Amino acid sequence: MKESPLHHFELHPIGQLSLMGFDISLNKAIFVMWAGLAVVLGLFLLIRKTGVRLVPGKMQSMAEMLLLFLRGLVDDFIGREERKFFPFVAALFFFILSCNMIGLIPGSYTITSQLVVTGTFAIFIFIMTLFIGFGRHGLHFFGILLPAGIPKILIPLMIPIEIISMLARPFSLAVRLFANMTAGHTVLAVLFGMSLSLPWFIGFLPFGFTVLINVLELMVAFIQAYIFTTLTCFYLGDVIKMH
Amino acid sequence: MSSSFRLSIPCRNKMKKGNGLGQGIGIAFRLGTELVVATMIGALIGYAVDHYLGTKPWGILVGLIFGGAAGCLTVYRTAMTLKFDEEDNNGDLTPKGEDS
Repeated sequence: MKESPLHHFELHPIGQLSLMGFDISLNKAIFVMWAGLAVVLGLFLLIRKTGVRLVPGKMQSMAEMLLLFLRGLVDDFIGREERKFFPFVAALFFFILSCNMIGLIPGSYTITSQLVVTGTFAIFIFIMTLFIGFGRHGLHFFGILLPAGIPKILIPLMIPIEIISMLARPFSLAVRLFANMTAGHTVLAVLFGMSLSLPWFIGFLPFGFTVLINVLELMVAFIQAYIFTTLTCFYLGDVIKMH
Repeated sequence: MSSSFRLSIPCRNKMKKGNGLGQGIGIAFRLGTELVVATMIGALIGYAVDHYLGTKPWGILVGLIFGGAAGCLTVYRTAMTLKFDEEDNNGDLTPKGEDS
């Protein structure tokens, strides 16, 4: 029995559904995405239900720590007076984190290993930064393409470079999350395949490695969610402050 | 909500300090893709220019060079903000007065 290590990234629709000619069949990824939303919502509802106490319990102090950390990011990168972005940033972080974590449960699916999902996040953020930039600064927003204090001779050289580095932002956001999640899960699949196809006295070695890689993947899941939110804050702050 | 937040503000500092390894790995992940993606975007724009204007080899060449430059610039900027962060916090990692 040979199976491609990329096999588990494939998606097959469960049943057929269509709405006004559009194919809206459900598949595993959509259910996992809903599960991710449900986990975030459920955890926070649970924390609220047990009561926000002055002396926080385990769950509450964990949530407080993460939220304070995210608020620190917003304060540092966007600015203290721009706290209205905090709910967006926090929602993004917790959604990506829960999706990454759910993907590590054997048999489930990692939606962040699909370029469509991460690309949608990234393009949405990119368009949002453009809207905010033009809304705040009007036509002065084009000034973001000119770094402060460069010699006039370099202007024709700098503008294409700045345009490229601007356009690279959503791509690097999307590709980073997608590539890291896909790579980690492919490595896991390859190791599992090895441990299944080898005789047991060697096969336990790759199996042991899968445990280690799983721990690493837990860390990567957290770090990738962290990087995604940090960069979102950074890009938002960049268009608001304009260098 | 805010009153319970204020209580555990020391947590944030602790997390910031204990997160040195995580932050380092995070920055490593960031910089790696930044270079590759910027070069790719440059090449893509160059390829599109070639395709529509028929300037066969030149668009992609210039695009690659500009893309690489943009990647380097982004990495340089990120590294610079990093250095300033370190100096702001405690300056443990970079000995002071070495290059300024």
